[in-house]
Amino acid sequence: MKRKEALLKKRKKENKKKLSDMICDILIEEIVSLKLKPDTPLNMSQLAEEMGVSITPVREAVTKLQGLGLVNKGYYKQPTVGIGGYNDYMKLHEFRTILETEAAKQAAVLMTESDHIQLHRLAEKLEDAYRLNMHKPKSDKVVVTKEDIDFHTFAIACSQNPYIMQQYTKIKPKLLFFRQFVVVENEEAISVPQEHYMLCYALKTKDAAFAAEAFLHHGQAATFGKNDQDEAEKRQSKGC
Amino acid sequence: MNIKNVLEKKLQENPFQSLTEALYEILLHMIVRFHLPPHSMVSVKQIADICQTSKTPVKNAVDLLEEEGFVYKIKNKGAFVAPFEYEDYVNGHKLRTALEIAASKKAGLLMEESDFMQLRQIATEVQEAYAKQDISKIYALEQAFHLKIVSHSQNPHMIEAYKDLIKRLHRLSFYIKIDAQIIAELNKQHFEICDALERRDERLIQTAMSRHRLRLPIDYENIADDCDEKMEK
Repeated sequence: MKRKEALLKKRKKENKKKLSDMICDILIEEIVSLKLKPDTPLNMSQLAEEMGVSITPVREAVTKLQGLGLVNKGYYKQPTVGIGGYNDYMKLHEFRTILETEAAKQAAVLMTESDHIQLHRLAEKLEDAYRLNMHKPKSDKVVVTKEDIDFHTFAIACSQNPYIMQQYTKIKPKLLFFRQFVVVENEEAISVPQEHYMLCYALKTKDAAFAAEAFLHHGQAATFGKNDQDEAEKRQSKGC
Repeated sequence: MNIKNVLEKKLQENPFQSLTEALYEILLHMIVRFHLPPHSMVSVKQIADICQTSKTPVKNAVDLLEEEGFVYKIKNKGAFVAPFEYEDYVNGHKLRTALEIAASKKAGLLMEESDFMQLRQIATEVQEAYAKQDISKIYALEQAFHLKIVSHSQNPHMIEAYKDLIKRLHRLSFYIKIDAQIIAELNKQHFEICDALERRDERLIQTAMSRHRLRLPIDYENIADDCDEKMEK
């Protein structure tokens, strides 16, 4: 019933979008927010029934999810939610760093004054989100995801390279998924926003090599630690 | 080019291939080879009539081409072949270079003796293909050489992105002008890359690969002029 409502809402909001794309978005949200846990089988006819649509758009959506690496699907096998483990995340992160470093090189040269202002605003939003977290007890801390992804997406868009933007859009759902397993520490409230201000500065210098180096350093520093992996395993074993 | 004959041939060769896939491959070939020039209409109905199929597989094939940027759609007018812009090539080439450098650094650590032998074999075959003046083979071998290195990075995201990029930059093969000097330089660089990979030295690999990619003997301005000419025609 909830899925049907979500689909209706989406149809009202984005009526020009393909039905299969809307279903895909709903399923991505569920996978990313762990409502659909890893290894959960996806019964397409049941999904179609719940959403009040035919099976064809659901099938198309599942194929698209398979392309994004969020679903495992084999011949004559029921598709399952499939998110890899630590190694998969490391490979994804490595790829993301390559994209961001190359984008930074190009963005440093192409960014206008208004782009710099906009990026700085996004960095401020990120800092606010981290500050909010700092005063919460450990159990209530949340991973600052949206603001971080917004910052990086904008920086990538400033490169004006459609190939990089497309690849980044492709990996975004998986990035969002993995970020949930990052353990939030108090020290991050200071260091992470500072790093983002540093990135703004690097881009403002218009020095492509410096900007690339700054993004590379940021990417390498922000890897998913071993502790995060343990936490992820704990959470998965708890089924959340 | 008779689409119907090509489609029949394709389906005879591989009866398990879906109609959508076969049509996609045919249309892609027609676009990259300028049988369908930029901004020309891709009429779903017409193609379906010629191929004597239903409109659905043609529509699906056109949708796939649109997703990959080979075709653009105008509401209530139809689908049209997207223009090939010089800027587009430069952007693709930049990402390709970044991916290849990163992938080759990783591949250098993971490749085995037999892989190096195979790479050298491909580099030698490029020389042989030039002796036969087989340009398309040279291009295919050059791609195989680099794809082999990228595949050894063992990073599925990098490999997938690289394959996707190669497909999109395929139109470039039409503009490559090859002579003996260029082939000699290209091949020398291939062997330098092999040497660097065998030494498993990241810095050396980066230098060899970036020199090969950044100094790839392609005259950018000529490509741009050729593109413009082709489009005017």
